[in-house]
Amino acid sequence: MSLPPEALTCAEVLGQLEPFADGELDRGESAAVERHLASCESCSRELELAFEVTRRLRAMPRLCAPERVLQSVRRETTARPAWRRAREPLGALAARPMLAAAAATVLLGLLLGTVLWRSHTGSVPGDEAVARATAEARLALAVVATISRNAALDLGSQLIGSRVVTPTIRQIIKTTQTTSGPSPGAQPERRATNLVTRRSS
Amino acid sequence: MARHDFDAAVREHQSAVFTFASYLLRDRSEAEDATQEVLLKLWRHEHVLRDGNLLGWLMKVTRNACLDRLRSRRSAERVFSRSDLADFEAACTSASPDPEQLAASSEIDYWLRHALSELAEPARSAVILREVQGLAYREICHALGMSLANVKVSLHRARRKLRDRLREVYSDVSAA
Repeated sequence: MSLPPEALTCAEVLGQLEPFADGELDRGESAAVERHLASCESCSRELELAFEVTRRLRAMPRLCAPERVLQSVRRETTARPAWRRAREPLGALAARPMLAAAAATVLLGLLLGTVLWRSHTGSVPGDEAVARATAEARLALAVVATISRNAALDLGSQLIGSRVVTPTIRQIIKTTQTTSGPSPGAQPERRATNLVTRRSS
Repeated sequence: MARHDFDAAVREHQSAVFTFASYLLRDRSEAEDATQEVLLKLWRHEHVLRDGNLLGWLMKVTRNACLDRLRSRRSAERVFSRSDLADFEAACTSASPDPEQLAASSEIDYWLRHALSELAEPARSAVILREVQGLAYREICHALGMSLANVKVSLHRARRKLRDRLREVYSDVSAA
């Protein structure tokens, strides 16, 4: 006896039992599987087995984390506030835009004040010391500038970077250069960018 | 992040994290470590609480933490000890809602859990998340980084393998 064209073999039905059990076959496919199952005891047993797998899996217990684990998490999170999430201070600063912007503003203010005070009082101890201190100050400024720029980008506010940070940094670097002259090969902004990238990664 | 938001998230989802870690690792103490790691990571990623798919994110992070542990377990050629497994099985047994029926089917369930642990990724994770934990497909897709169609195919193939295993267990039981 030849099979009707839409009849499925056992192998075909066994390959579709899971989607059939989940109701994910379309109407025609589902009807063909049903017709086969109605006349095939072996495949019907397999369908029962497929349902049993699902039933047993769904009856598997869900477990609760032990109280000591939850207490440990509570202790850790109480000891370490959420904003101190990065391991390194510079990384943490860069990851916290508002904090970085505030810190940058304070540092810039202090450095600008120091530089202007030095240039006006003229109480500078010696040329070599001044050159060294200025180079370090410029590097620090460039680091702050890079962090602030990153923070501004994180905030999505190009305005902070273009209208506040960059002009301030330019003005301070110009002031330090007129005080002690450029230090050859220092390239503070590039060094600062490398420094911040290294510490943040 | 408001403290109470984090505490509420931990209360609501600690079981899902610990269950997923336990079934993936089958080692209670490692599952505890992984759970702690995941919850601390949540504390450090405050934006997740507002993303609208917290459970999907937690399952993704839990899976990564567990797969890392499984990889290092393999690379260290650590033998999976019987006591680790016994702890996990004891936890499953004590958490069972119906202890009286447990004795009759415990052996079959034991073998089913064993077969589950032998499934390849991501099928194993898909089965645990969908069938054991009852997650929505949306959350599973997020956790596994897969399309809905691929998740479903993965699930069907995995359940078919489990069906084959269950048939073998029944024929072993009836032969004994």
